[in-house]
Amino acid sequence: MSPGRAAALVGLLAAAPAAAGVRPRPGGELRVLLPAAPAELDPARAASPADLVLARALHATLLEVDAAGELRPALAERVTASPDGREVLVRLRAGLRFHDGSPVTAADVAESLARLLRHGSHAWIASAVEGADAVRGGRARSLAGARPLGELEVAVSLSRPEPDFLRALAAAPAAVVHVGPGGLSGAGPFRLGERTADAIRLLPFEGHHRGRPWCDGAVLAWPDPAAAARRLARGGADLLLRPEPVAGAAARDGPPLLLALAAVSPRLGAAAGPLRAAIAGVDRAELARLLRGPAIPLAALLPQLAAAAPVAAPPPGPLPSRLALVVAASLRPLAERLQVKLFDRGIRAAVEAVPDAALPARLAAGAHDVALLPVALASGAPRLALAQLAQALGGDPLAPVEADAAAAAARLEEALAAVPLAAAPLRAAARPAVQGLAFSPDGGLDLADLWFLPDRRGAR
Amino acid sequence: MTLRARLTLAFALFAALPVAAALLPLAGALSDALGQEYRARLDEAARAAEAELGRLGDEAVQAARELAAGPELAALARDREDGSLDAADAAGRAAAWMAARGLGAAAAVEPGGRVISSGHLPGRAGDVDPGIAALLASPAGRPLPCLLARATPAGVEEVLFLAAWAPAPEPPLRAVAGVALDARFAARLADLAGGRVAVRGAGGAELAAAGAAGAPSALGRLLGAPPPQVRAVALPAPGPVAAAVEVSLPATGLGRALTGAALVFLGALAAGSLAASLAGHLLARRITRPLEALRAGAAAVAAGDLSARVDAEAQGEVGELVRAFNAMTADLGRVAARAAAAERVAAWREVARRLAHEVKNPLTPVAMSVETLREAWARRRPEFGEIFEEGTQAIREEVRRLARIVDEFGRFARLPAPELVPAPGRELLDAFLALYPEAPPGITLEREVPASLPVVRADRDQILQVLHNLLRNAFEASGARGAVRIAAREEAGELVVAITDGGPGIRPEDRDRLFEPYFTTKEAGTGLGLAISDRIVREHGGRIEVRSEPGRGATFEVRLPVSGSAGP
Repeated sequence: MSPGRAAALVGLLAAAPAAAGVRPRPGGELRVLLPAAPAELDPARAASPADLVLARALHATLLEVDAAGELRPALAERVTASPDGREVLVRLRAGLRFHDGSPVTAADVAESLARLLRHGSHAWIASAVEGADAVRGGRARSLAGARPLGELEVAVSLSRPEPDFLRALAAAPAAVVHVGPGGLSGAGPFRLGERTADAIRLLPFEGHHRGRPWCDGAVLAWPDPAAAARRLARGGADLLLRPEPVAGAAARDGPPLLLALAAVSPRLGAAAGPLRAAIAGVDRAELARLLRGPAIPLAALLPQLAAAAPVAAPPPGPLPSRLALVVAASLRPLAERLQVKLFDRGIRAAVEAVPDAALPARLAAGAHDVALLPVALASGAPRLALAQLAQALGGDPLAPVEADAAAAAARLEEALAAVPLAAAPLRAAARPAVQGLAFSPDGGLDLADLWFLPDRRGAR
Repeated sequence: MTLRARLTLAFALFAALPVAAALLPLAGALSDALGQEYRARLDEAARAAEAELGRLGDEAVQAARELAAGPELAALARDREDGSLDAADAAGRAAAWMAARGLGAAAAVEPGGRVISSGHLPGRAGDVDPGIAALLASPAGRPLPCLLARATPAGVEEVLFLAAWAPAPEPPLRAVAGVALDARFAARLADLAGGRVAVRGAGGAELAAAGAAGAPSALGRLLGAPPPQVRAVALPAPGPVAAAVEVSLPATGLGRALTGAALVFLGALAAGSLAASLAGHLLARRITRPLEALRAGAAAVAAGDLSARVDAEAQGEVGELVRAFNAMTADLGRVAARAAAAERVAAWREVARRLAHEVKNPLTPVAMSVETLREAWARRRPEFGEIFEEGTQAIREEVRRLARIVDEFGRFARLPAPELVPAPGRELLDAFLALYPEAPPGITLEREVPASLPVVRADRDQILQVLHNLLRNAFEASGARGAVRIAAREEAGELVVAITDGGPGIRPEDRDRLFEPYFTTKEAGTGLGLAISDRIVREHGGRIEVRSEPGRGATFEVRLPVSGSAGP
């Protein structure tokens, strides 16, 4: 180990979560290394952990989850629900504006909910709102159940009781956006600055509901793992957000964020059931090892889902001798392990790795027997996570999710023929000068909360 | 089979037999020579395969040693030691080592065979690889056949590798490197050898193969071409598995050479047989030509041609036979000429007798009338006037009869050739029947003529004369009372006109002479009517047929060939 690297690691190891007794101070530009390039600026389409990090920086939601896991107002000043939970009245803070200068209004709230149903992969958030099926089916543009009552109030009617609806409004994809002539605009703590092929610059937004972020700005980049570790060790970055550990660096794990699922295609017919049982029979704790980072078996993420996953006895029927295994490139190591385990069971699986972004289209083509897909969870609430998984696996995003999460997990596993394999959190490794680092219980990391120790700011 | 054919065949066989007898020994000799050359080439290909396997084995050993001592394995061990080795990252590190060295397999394993990183099967990391564990049980630094699973785009498959391992100095890891003896290897080696290469594992199971050995054709095998031969190159042992690489070369060239030689022989056989057949044919023709001429001459004589001569030149017995035949036909001709002359004399005598008879009959009443007149004139008989009248009347009648006889003879002699023109049958019959609007008293005339009758080529006047003669004979045969029937029809390409009477019929002894000139059964007949009718009809290409039974009348049928479509 070189002396320089050793010194840097000593410095990193000495970093504390927060300097006791030191008040946060503004200033400094935060240099963040993401696990991959963000593919989406639209929160309704955010699919990867990097997308979600960027969505939280650029956009704001009506509600937020605090460190204790409780909901707190964000863009909303107040949210009240009727006793049966089917009527929700949202009152916005007065005077809030989007990055483009337009005011945050009740109409933007209603439109943002409708956009989730029209465009995104997060229709599950608004699935309980009245009129969701009409918008989803293209028969209506706006939600009948989201009615602006003036500039700052919006009444939301639900077609069914949905106890987690308010928690769904706190998920990053549920951010309130404004679609103006200049495009999509958010109300998050940062606004979009310069964007290049390998970096995105974020500028502080004075009009954020919690005020200006501590940093004067942030630069997001996404080098490969080795380069990222080197940059952090050499002081070329302040914060590394990646699943895998960095040698010698103290890190803080967020809650599980990435879930790997094996979806068995119904085209296998009678062999689908035995194959699902065979996949479920693979040691999933060992599979979890192959998710980059300190991946964990599914039981630690969603106990209900894991409880429903084991298959006691495989249904009768022959196992297929060959199958086509389509896999997101980020899950390739896991797929290769599964391939070997299936080979040991006499099944020859041809692995085809496709870029994560191209996976939905590839799966829609249907020419696969088993798909391994990653899902970046946008909410830590088990039922909401299950609803998101159901949509990711091609299920009906508007289908109600059982109140009992275990029953919901069993139905999901049965109806969608999916085997949850493993989950991984996002891990944050920061330079010692970076303070305020804390994941919220739903996996979110708010860059606006980070600040630099005064004596370290200039020591980059 | 004719004599000429038998001779031709015999010549062909005599030419073919020696050539055919030489074919098999020559094919055997050629097969031996080509077989030796084939085996030499096969041995050379096997040596080349052995050298290639040796080179690959050295490559595997060298690569294992390099990996064991190289920085990559040391880095892997270090990361593993300090806990920074991500499992997902570790699993495939060996893939980079493998690609950099062009290997088919590379792995870093624990001494017990547990895989830490595998280039050929990344998903095996964390497990004990049974193939590698078996390899590790053998001495390090030796290339040995080893059955390993590897990942391919189509899935995991088991492939025979020539692999070696080497120990890393510290910590105690093992580096494994191998080259795949797979289908690609077999294809490369098969290209080099120009034949077929098969990789066989335990029990002779074929693990990979490429190229074609090419068996000789059925004809080649029949001519002695051997099936493709195989040379096995054993892989180093004792190793984890027993394996061998088999090399074979196509024997199709050998078969083709033998087949080509056989075809040349068969061509010579065919050409020789053809030439012999031609020679045999020409010779046989020279021998059989007089005999065939004699056969033709005999057939001509049998057909009545007594002038037939055999002109063929021949020697010996056949020449004698030809001369005897010609002498015989010459004698037969002279005899026939004499017989014809005698017949002509007899015919003239018959004509003279008939003519005398016919002329003599009227002369007697003439002479008697003249004598009566002279005697009545001499006696000055008062009834002389009446006697004169009766006498001259009788003389005039007999003279007229004589004139008619002379006229009939003249007509028979001068009968002109018919002028044949298309004549519709119905018109012909209508013209004929118009002459007989009613029958003679006491006779019933029945007509049975269909509306459509075929066209014939006929001299209308001559045919009408024929019908006229036949109908008049029928009336005369019917006597004072009776019935005559005229019927016409088309039958077998002929127009048939049948005239039937109910008279006494024709005696059998007369039937054959009916159409002879001057034959008659009537007291006043000249015997020329039917002869003339028969001649006319024959000159029209037809014939007259007669059916009759004594006492039951007679039917005369005129049959003329049809020349065109039916007329109205």
